[in-house]
Amino acid sequence: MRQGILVLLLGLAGCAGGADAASETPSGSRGVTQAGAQDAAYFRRLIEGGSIPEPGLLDQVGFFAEHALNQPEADCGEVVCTHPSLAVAPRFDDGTWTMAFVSLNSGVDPETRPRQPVHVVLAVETSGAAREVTQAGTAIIEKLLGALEQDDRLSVVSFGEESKLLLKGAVPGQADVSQVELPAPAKDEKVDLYGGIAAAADALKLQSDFVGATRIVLLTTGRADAGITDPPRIESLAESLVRAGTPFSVLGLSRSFDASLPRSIAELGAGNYAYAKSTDDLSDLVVQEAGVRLVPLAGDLQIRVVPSPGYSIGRIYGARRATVEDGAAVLRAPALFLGTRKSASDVEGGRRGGGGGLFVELVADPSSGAKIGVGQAAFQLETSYTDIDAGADVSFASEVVNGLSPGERPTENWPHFSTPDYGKAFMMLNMYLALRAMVDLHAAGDCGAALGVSYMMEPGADEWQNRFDDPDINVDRDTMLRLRENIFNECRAVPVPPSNYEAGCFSL
Amino acid sequence: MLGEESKIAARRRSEVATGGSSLTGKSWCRALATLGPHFGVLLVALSVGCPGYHYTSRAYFANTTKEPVNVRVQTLQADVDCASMDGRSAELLARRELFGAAITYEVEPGQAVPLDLDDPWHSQRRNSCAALVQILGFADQVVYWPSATGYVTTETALAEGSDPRFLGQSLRLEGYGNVKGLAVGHALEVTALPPQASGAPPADTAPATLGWSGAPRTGLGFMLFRREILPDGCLSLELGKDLDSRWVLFLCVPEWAFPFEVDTKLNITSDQILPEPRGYYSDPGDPPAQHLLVQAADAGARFELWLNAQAAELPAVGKVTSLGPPGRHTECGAYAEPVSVELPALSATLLPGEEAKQVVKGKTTRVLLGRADQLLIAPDACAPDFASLGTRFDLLMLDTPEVTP
Repeated sequence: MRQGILVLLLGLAGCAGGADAASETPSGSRGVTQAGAQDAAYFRRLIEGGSIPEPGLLDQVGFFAEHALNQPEADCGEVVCTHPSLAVAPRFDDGTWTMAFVSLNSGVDPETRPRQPVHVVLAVETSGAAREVTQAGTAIIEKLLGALEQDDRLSVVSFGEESKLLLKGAVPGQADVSQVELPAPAKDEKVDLYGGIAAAADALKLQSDFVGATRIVLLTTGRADAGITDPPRIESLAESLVRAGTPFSVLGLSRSFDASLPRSIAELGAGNYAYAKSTDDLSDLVVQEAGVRLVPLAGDLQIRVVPSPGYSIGRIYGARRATVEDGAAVLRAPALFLGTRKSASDVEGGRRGGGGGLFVELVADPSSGAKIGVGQAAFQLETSYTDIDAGADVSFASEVVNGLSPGERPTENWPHFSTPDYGKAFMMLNMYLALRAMVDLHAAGDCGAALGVSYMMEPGADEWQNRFDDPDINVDRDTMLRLRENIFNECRAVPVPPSNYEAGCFSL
Repeated sequence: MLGEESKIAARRRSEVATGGSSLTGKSWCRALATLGPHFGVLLVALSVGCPGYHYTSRAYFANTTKEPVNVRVQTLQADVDCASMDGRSAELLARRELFGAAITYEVEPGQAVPLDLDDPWHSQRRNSCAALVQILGFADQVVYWPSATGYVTTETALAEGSDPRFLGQSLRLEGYGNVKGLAVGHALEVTALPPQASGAPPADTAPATLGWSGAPRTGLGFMLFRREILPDGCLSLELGKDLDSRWVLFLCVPEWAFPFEVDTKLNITSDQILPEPRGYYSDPGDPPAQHLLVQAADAGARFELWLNAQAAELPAVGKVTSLGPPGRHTECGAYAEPVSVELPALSATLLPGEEAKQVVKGKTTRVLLGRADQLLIAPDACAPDFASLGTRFDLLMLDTPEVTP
């Protein structure tokens, strides 16, 4: 059965640990998820099992992607629309929490685009750690080839200290890959990740008569200790492939998986990012990969959040690639793809809501408040990209007004939203900040403050649920309370309010 | 978590046993006391019977209020050329990624905590000159003690409020109730960090990127079977003695630098040179220089590429001169300042990214200096090129003989 999951991607959902849930919106607009992890299932599972996870296990992109966010219609008249909004809330101290949010969606229906055959290049690391998951690789290759359509092609390269082309342009239903095996790992063999990606890039060109799309699926432990090891240069190669129209999926392997480089590659903005903890997981993920269709929509996306007078850029969440340039928050992606997936039995555990976007804190200069007054712009959103089909440059801008003056706190302990119908994103951010602060403070040995966070946040979560009864926030709230219980069981500390806490106060 | 704390306790014990310079006396007792809240009653009971102890340190945190305070201290997780940081710590060290795991201390009223807690496992090679101090209610503070700062020894675990040297070398929490502030000793440089997750500018990139991936063979008469350009501009080369023994080399150089055409026979040498030991020991983190030499078998063009080289390794190189700031911050948190490289035979001194060209008796020599860095901050988390201090450069040299008609 082909189940439509229409997600416009910076990255398409895919994970070990994601339950099947579409992010299709009633309007027919397709929300854009930030590329990278697509759930926080493992983090939640640990908490449900009574553990207190390490802070590094809470991935903000994955956490946001679990949430279903309503968005305005994608009626901007372009292939990709951007939607800015603003929330202003009291902080837990005397300050004011002023947060901008930008989400993306598209009105394009991928089913209206003709399906193109795809040449998939599977690049597989051959280190001993990787082999614990891939085994000899034959079964994985057979599964992937079996799940591709007849007009697709599959090539396979392996990489350890050296890269090798193992399979060239195999035709589904015809090629016999039962003899294809990954090279056995050598003792103390290093891993040349740059070489593996470069070999995959070479393999894309081997089918000179092939007409269709291309895709690279990288199976990696995240290790890169031979050849060119500098992460920015490895990312640069991956980015150049994405820019040239080749989506890049990354599947993490092994218990010693080092996520830093794979995550950076995944967040370039194309393809899946998932972790396979077992051979069975990996099989499921590669089959899922075969069912993914990615249609390039836009190239060279740039989103700029430019603060208005009276504000400056503070913290940024939701997009690790975002930087601050000339006083504005800037997010660039080499390409945006429109994705569909054949059904999918996603592997286990988590939720998949397709939520996410760019959060930018606006730090208000209180002294400018009286001067600037209420109802003035808080920031301008500038969007630009290339419409790939039309071959045209697209750019547009919009302003978001703050009904309060810069730094002014709402009179009640409830946020002021610029678009109240779409305020859930801000609550989602607050729940992420709560969970992150709790595991951070616990890891630093400050159990009292870790517990204090949950007591500070609980009324806000309850109030949100009273008003909206949202299933995603409900799960977040339960996770927070369970984490509190786990921390208390370990530390028996007296809850104290933490200082410098990043969240806004959403409770009356 | 518990494992890590146990390790910390063990380190403190080790330091006492080996006479470590930063903590003296029965400091392990303090460590045990610190760990008490995590281990429960047992360790607290152990620490109750500890005799008095004192500290020797170049920088302190002191709690001069009437209430206990929780303080988190993170030590440097990077090799730092401390002498170069004087007066520049705010610019160069005010980055969270340079600091490692936090230890939380509950500091009683009047007590002090020494901040230059070298990890004893690294104390042979790592200078400690900064710590990240987190105090509830305040912005995180990077505390830097300049290289000339002397040690101050306390009589007890208490702050030495009447000792001007102690006051000059301490970050002190002062005040009462809700009115508290931080006082900074004149000998220290203290910088407040922006909040976590604050937007940051993009990392700087090197002016020219040279390098290779793949495992180049050494030998004579390799045929160049394929030569293509990868999407990032690097070259993808396929070489071998015959079709059945082909191997690939991904070479990141400008296109002009590798003039060999497909079906050319090449002689190739690839080797590594271990770095000269620095001081009494060789730092295992120092990357070896890598050398790749490719020459047409007919004695035609000669391509030579050095990565992570030091002046002593290249006869063609004369003086390597540090150019000072401005430098660049890499994505992994390293900080490097540029160096110039003198090439006496070409009568040229190159800056990073610069080229030189010379024609002598029909032979053209063209040289490109790639990355040329003096690493002043080298975080453990960086790739080997940036994970140790020192001056290293990448150099490409191409000799092209005169083409006779």
